[in-house]
Amino acid sequence: MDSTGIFCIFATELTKIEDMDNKKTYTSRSKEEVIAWFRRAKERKQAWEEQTELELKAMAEESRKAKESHYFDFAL
Amino acid sequence: MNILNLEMINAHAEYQVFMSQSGKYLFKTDYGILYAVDFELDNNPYYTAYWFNLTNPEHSKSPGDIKIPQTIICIIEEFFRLNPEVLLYMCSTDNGQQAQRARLFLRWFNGYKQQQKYVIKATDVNSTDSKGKPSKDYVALIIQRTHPLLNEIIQRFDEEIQMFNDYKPVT
Repeated sequence: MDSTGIFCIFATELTKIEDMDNKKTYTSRSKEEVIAWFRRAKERKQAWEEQTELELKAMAEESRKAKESHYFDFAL
Repeated sequence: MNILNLEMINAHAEYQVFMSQSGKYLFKTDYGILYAVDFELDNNPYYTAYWFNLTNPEHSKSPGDIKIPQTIICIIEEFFRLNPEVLLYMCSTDNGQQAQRARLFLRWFNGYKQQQKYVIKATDVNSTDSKGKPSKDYVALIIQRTHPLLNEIIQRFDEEIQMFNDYKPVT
């Protein structure tokens, strides 16, 4: 591994440690912070569901096309 | 998050679980319904937690298909095996059926074996829907009984949920 790779690992680990330290030293959230946190989580969940639905529908469509093309080849 | 081991899941799950190109865990039921499961890192400032996401794009119902909860529990068990963290679950507000979904999820996850291993805290909170109207959301926290911060996390969850009880959404 070159020095850039080692530096990247070091930086990632340092960020993790800083993050853990921040979590430990955080005392409490205000009601507004909690409500904002929950609202963001809800928005992310809705976005995830919409994106997943599109993804799965695209997969189903691909699968359907693959089946049709298979039957076509077979008919030939 | 540590990626789940599909072999471990599939050794016990009733439905075959596979991974999509985008890293979601998928399975298809006997009735052709596709389910997607995912875990998303939460950004609370206290402890590491993940939101559990579950959907089927057709929004089809499968009453009585016990293979679905069995498979989902296998995925969650594997999550906890590799990620001994906290799991948060919020019921989708689709069609205003979050209360039924919450009850269903809790029924799935409140089996005897699960109760021995996990503490599950579930509650409803005052919130607003996408149009800004007041609504109820259902939130659950699942944590292993062996978690080193078990009591602290539960206490914090209870305290913060209490804040929602006083919350009056602006309409």
